[in-house]
Amino acid sequence: MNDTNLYRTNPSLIIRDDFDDFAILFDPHSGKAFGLNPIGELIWKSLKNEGSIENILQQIESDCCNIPETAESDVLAFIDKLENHGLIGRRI
Amino acid sequence: MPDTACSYRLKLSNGQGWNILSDEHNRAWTERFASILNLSTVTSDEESFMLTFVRNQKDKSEGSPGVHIEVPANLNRKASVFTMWKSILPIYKQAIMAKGVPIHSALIEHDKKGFLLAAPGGTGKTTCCNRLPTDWNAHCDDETLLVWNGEDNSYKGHPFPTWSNFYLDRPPWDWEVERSLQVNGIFFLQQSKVDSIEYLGQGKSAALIYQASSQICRRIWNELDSGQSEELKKHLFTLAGDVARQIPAFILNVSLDGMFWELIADASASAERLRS
Repeated sequence: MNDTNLYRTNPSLIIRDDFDDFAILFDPHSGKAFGLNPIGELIWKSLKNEGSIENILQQIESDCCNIPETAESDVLAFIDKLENHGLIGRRI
Repeated sequence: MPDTACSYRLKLSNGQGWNILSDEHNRAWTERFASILNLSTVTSDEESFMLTFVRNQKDKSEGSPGVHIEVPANLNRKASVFTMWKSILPIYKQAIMAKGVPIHSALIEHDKKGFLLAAPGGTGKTTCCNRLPTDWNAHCDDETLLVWNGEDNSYKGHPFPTWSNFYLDRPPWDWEVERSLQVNGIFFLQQSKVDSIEYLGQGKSAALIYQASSQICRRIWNELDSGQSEELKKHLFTLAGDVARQIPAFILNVSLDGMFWELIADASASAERLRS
């Protein structure tokens, strides 16, 4: 299992979560905006607080129902996407 | 020294005012600028920002307040239009500081309600404006300055010129920059074979409003250092979010021969009913 403590959120990003559809993560450097559904928002905020994959999965279990068996791999795939967009980086 | 005989005032509906002045060399140029914006020669004792056109930045008087824009002698037509276009930016900047947002959009009106048609160049803003029936009005087809009015907690749109008309020898419009309209809906245009409309959630709307604003504001941040530019982008994104929470927004798929304005009127009426 990957350890999310290896990751760090890009400190220049801002998140706005008071909309009626998505939370929006905004990168002022590129000017790009990314929509986050509630699970994406939960993962982002957890990464920001240096939460581990275990923490994220526990939180999903406590907040959500009908959790798919693929939850862990879905979370890891999402984290990969965040990394590919430069929204998080690996700690060195 | 400013030529006090050549003084114009631009008053926005959020209360911000500008005194637009010229030095003795730029009187004709300033008159042309003011006539494009439909400004009148009004002097005001009200507290206003100052925008002065000078021949040379070195000529500005010591301690002279406000923004000074250099207008060199013998500008060719393109350079002259470019300088006018640039002269609007300080006005946009001050509006942004007061929660305003410049948007790459047309401003249209029906039943005293304002609507924005937002899209990148070449999508069809001008075509849509030209196709409106007679009970609709188009106030501008390219740039609208949305200003926030704290007194009634509303956003009003001011029409600004389409500067490319002057490059491309298109007929100028009658841009009444001081005129404002409460904006009741933002419609993001997309070309389509069939007209249709879809409501946008606030998050998606915020992202699109930011994008439509950045198409104008990149002129501002291109002149800033990277730190200042990022701060301005963050501020603008926050403002775009505030607009998205207040004004309903839609994707408007527009064909060349449909009656898209009926979709706008219906969507606006539905949004109003939902609010009440």
